Amino acid sequence: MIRFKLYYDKDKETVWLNKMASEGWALKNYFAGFYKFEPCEKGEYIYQIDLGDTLYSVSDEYRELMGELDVEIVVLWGYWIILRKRAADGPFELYTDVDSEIEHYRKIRRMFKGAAIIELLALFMELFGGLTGNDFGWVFALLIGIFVIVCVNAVFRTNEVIARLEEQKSGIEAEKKGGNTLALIITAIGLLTNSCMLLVEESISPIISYPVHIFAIIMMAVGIVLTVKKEN
Amino acid sequence: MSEKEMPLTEAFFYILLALRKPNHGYGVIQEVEQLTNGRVVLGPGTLYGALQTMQKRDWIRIYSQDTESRKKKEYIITELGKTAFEAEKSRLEELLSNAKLMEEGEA
Repeated sequence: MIRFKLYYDKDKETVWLNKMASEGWALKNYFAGFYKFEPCEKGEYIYQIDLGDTLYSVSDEYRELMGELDVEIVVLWGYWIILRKRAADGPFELYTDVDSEIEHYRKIRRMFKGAAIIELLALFMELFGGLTGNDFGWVFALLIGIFVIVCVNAVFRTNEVIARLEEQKSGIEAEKKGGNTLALIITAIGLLTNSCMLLVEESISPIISYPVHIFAIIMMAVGIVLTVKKEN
Repeated sequence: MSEKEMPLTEAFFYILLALRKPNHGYGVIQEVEQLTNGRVVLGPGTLYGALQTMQKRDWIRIYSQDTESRKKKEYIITELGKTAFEAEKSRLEELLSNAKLMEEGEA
């Protein structure tokens, strides 16, 4: 049986894979959103998802340790590793203390941040392509734009998970971070204004377009400065 | 010992302890589980992450890597690892000895 689903939240994906396994469908393979299932005994396996250090591969040490612990590596996709263990062999949790769990989600956040930055660069290239008359540029820009939003959203969600774990660890309720959201909104306004101006530049007078461009650049710069300040 | 490395997490503490003699991944999990009467059960991700971090810090090293005979990979604590463990032990001893003040208070 093949199912098509797009997940960017590994926790929800894990829940779904385990639900499928409990109904007698064990994940066997994965390719770009296509999950291939094989019949299994109901609840035969427990699935977990890990994030590796390298693309489409794991170190020998990782492979050996998992093998030693009766954990099967089912799928390697990008940085993601889908693992399973026979339910009969006992419980299966990858991360069993809050410190290693925080480290795990920090790694996930780094990955999504990296992806967002790369996709943002690609987005500008496609926008440029669109502006220079390549209609495919617009289509790709739209697709990449969606991907950027998904990645940024994932970063925010992972932030929430980490904040919750930090609270759990220290017992101190984290202060709500407003600054980062503000910085992001300012940057987004700057980017949008800039993109819109690039679109209509040809048809309006430079007297209007130049000040708006400068406004957009200032917004983007302020957003970046705020973000960097927060990070430090 | 940098600030980030101390105090040790429970997982790190018990993994170092279990590696006072050569031990492999499954052996470490079993020993820690026994020592804590089943309270601390290390997940594969937690164990792998700790083994990687402690190798980077030179607290532990690979003891045997006999791939020919398909022997399991074993790890052992280093001198630096023992220093880290001792530092944590002193910290815990301080906690325990200070904890006795509570009993005096009641008396």
